[in-house]
Amino acid sequence: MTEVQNENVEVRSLPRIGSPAPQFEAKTTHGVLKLEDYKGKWLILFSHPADFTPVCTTEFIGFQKMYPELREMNTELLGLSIDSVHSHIAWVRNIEEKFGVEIEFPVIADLTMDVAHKFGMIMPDESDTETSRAVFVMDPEQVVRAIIYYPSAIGRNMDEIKRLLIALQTADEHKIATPANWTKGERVIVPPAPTQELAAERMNNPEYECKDFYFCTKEIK
Amino acid sequence: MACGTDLTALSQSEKVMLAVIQEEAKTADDIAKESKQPIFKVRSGMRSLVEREFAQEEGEAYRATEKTIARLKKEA
Repeated sequence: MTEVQNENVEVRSLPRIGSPAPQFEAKTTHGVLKLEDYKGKWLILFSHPADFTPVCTTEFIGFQKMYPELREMNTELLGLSIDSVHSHIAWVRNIEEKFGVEIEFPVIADLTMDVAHKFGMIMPDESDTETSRAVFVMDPEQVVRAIIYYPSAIGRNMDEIKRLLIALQTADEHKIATPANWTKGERVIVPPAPTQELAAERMNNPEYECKDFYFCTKEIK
Repeated sequence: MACGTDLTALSQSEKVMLAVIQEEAKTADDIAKESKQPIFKVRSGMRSLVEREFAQEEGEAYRATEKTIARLKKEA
C-alpha cells in the first residue's frame, strides 16, 4: 500500500503592481514604524544588501540628496537591510563623518527578514542572508505602483527613480500615460479610446496630435 | 534588545511633539502641522510616547500626561 504523507508548504504571495502593499511593523533608526504610518504619502521603500559596503553607501548618499525634493512631492523614503539597528546607526553616523551627508530617512533593521520576505526582496541564488537592491513605489493608498530590482553589484540610478515617481504622479493627476524616456514638461500619451465613436472623435480634437486613432499625444497645461 | 533599551530618554523631536499637546489634546495631523514633523514620525512617535506613558490617547487625539508636563517644565 502506498503511504500518503501530508506536507505543509508555505506559499508566499509576493506583492505585485496594483496590489495592496503588505502591512508590516518594524524596528528602524527612527523607532518602531508601521507601513500604515505612511498612509496619505507616496512611499519609496528600498532595500540594500548590507551596511558598511561601498555601493550601498553611494546609494544612501544619492537617496538623501533627492530626499528634500521627494518630500516636496508628498513622498517619503524608507530604507531596509538585514542588519541590526545598531549597525544602521553606526553606518549613518559614519556616512555623516566621512562623506558629510546626514541620512535623514529611516532605515528598517529587518533581522528576522519579515519585511524582506513579505516584499520578495531576497534573491536566494544571489544571497539568502542579504536583500537585493529592490525598490517599491507605493501611492498614498498604499498600493504598489512600481517595482525595480537591481543586482547587488550595480548601484541604482536616482534620476530614474525620481523620473518614475514624477511619471506616476503625473499619470494619476492627468489620467494619461507617459512614453519611453519621458521627462517632465514633454508631451504625454492620451490613453487609447475605448469605443469606435471616441476613436473617430479624437482625430479631430485640436488638443491632440494623433498619428493614428490609437496613438495621440498632448501637452499638459 | 541586548542590554535593554533606554525608555526614559526623550529625543528633541519627541519634546517638540509633546510641547504641542501640553495644553490641549490634538490629532496626529494637527501635531504634524504644528510641530513641523513628518506625519509618519508623528504617528509612530505618539504610539511610542503613549506606550512609555509620556502621552495619553483621547479618542483620535493625544495629550501630554501630567508627569510629562512637569518634566518638560523642569527641563525648560
